[in-house]
Amino acid sequence: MTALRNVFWGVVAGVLASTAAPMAVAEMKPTLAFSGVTGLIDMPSGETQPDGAFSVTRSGFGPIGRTTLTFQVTPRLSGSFRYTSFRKWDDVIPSPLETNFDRSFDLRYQLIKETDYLPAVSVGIQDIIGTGLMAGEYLVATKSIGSTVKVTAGLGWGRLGSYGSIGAPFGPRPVAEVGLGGRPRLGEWFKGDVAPFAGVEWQITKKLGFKAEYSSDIYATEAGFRQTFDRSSPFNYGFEYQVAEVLRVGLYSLYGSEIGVSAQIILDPKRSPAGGQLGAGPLPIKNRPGSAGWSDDTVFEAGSVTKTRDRLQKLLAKDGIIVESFAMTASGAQLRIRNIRIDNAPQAIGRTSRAMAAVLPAGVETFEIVPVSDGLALSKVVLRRSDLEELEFSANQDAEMLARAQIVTVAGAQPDGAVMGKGLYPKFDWGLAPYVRTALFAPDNPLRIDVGVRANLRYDIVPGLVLSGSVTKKFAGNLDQSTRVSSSPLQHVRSDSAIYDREGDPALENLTLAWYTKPAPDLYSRVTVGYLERMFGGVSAELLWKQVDKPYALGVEVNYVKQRNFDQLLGFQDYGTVTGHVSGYYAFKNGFQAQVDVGRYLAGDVGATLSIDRQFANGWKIGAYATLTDVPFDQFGEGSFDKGIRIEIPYAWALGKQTRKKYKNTIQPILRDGGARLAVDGRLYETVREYHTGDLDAKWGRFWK
Amino acid sequence: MGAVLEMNHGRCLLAGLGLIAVGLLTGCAAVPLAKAAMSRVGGGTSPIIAKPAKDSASITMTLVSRGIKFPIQQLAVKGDVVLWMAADGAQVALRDGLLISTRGFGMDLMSADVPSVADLSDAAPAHPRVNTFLNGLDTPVRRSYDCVVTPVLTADDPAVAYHVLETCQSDAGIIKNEYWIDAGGAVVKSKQWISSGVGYAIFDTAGG
Repeated sequence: MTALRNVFWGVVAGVLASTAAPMAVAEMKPTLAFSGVTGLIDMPSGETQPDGAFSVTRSGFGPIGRTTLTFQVTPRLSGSFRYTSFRKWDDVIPSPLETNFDRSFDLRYQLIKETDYLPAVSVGIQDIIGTGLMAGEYLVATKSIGSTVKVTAGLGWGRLGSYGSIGAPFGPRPVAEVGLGGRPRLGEWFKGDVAPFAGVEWQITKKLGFKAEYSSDIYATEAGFRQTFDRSSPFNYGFEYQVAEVLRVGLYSLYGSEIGVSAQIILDPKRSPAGGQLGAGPLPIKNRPGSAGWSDDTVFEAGSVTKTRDRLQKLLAKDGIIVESFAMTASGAQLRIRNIRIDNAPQAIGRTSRAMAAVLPAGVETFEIVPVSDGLALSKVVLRRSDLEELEFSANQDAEMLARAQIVTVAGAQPDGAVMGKGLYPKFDWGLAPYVRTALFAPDNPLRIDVGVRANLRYDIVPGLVLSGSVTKKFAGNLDQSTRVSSSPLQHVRSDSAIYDREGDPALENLTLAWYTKPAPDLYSRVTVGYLERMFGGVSAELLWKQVDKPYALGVEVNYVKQRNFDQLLGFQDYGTVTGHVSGYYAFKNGFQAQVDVGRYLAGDVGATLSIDRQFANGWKIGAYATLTDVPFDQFGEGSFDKGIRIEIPYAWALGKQTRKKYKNTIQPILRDGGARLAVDGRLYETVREYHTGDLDAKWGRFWK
Repeated sequence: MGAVLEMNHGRCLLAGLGLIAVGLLTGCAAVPLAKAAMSRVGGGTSPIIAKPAKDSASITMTLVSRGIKFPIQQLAVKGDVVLWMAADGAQVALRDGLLISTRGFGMDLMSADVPSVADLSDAAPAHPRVNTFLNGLDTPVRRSYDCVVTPVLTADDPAVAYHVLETCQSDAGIIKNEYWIDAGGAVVKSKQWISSGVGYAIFDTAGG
């Protein structure tokens, strides 16, 4: 636990350091309980966090420590993933474990929003698909009184109904069958003893708060059976201090015998620590002289096109935009660009259009901007230069421009007379950067971490043909200390990852030749050959059909792979398989995206994955997925089936600076061999979608920025 | 075993959050190669693209909530709009002295439908106003106001012919802009609302 604690405080320090721009503290924010859900100290409340908020809570008292990630999925629905450690597990009652680590997942839903007369009311189910150690359900109401006091009262079942019970209205609670976890225990919910709980929260000053509560959790196993601490009172109280916009810490007295501490980090996608996107403003749009001075049949000399391209490149380089190719006629120009730094696609297009207005001859009225990634032309944004001039300072300019812009499909081939960007093909590039690799929430250790250095190389041969690779060398870490031996009856396609961690130093992470092309205007393809990922190498082929203006897409991927040697050098093991999926994608207007993949997974199992993600215009993304295959739950092992939560936070949001880098992670309760997919780089959908209508529309607010 | 593999684009959770926070853009970001390599080309900063002429006019701008005051220089003129730029490249556009947009301040005022200077007198006491700003999600928020103009009695500055308060009400609250206008109808000083993220800015042509 020490490592996790250290990392946590590292985060705290980092967050503190980052909150450079002070913001007004709202008068009374919804705060978090020890369990990481919105609440009091050890009891939940009826409130919610701001829509989309992502929080990390670390709390501890006596022998019990909890780390919880919570996401407010919609204004009313939230989910929490929790890692709990119970120390002194074997002090009194013998157990193979000195410390018991337990993972649990909660869902809660707000039934009623607070009004002048009504309290906020939420219903929650704790530990839905875990081992049941934390299982409990609740119905809770919270009402503000004035602007500084909130009162909470609720009813709890399961462990939240274990102290001061007032009966069992819905019948006895069936005895929990812990088993492998992973399956909801529907039959238990709201059954058995019910007990009331209550509490009050008082915001004393802007930063200092006080909480007191009566807890209905008797800690039957921890305090009773295993006697890991002394629960002598149901009353808890303590103070919390808002250290920064995103960080709150607390000190408490719990259960009459223990001191408790907590730290809550709440990241609200609406509140960037940097206060929004900073950085230099764009080029003003240059007024053209009254008469254009070009006749329609003007033909430019090759030399003048090249010169114009160079001037464009010079201006665009400042925004990290590379000219892929440029073509110009008397009345129109097509500029193909690679945007490698601006996180927001419409802003990159807006800035490109301003550079075109600054450089191109006055007669050029139609600007065609074609974003390109790995040689793939993704779409064509057609703008009229006179619209740019007219709307530069007009009210409602974003909606007006979006209405007048055309976003259409584009052919893969360059337009007539195009000159390529200077020095792009062939081009060799490389990079060297530190890396961090973690294994989170493993059953025997919540955090294993390696740090080292990663060398990347990339060789662009011709447009769409890329040779690339990366090698890591570990400096320090404890990933190699995992001694868990996989007992999976399936082929160990993932569960031997500890051996890969141990033996892969240095490791050739990947080395591939990838070929991207567009067989037709709405078809995108990728073929990748080589060492595709840490554990597999082979051939991967993908075809994606995505129309520019449609919210849906269809993809097919087929791979033949062999399992790589544990040392992650050049050799292979005997296991080889054909794996692949048919994928359907749909982007809803409200920012939600669904993806269904049906096919054959790495271990040869057949099944489907459903993923749901929610994406905000500023690039924040959070989602969940689950995979069910024909592997029976008892063969799959702990967790019964593969599932996870994933999050993406753009660095641009955190720093207010231009960068396309993102913090991305997938949190899986456990990684097993069933439902495992190949982790090949360069999958097409996300890349293609970014420059298609739905995504561009959602992010268009920054076109003029 | 934990979640090592699924993260082919990023390999750290808490550590990563910490890294975001301290701004260390280390290798746990991005598609392994392309981005890392390209970041060497891009550099990650956002250099100033347009520069004002050396001898161009200058006024002062104060961000009230941040307590900072700095000169802004004339970058471009387009009809009745003057585009001004601060040394760090941030921009503001004023139409006859009335703020219509900012760039580079975070939650920027992206555009605005503002009254004319003539509307800012006792003779035309009421007018509408629409401000569009970017919220924290980078989504434009259009806010419509009903505004009234009231005179403020100050006579100590001979350059100021009249001094008015524009009080604008929307569903989300009230903003109060203030203008000091000279006899020729030019706004010589003003205090105007940018957005909830940035607050008020003071523009002063006297440079003081």
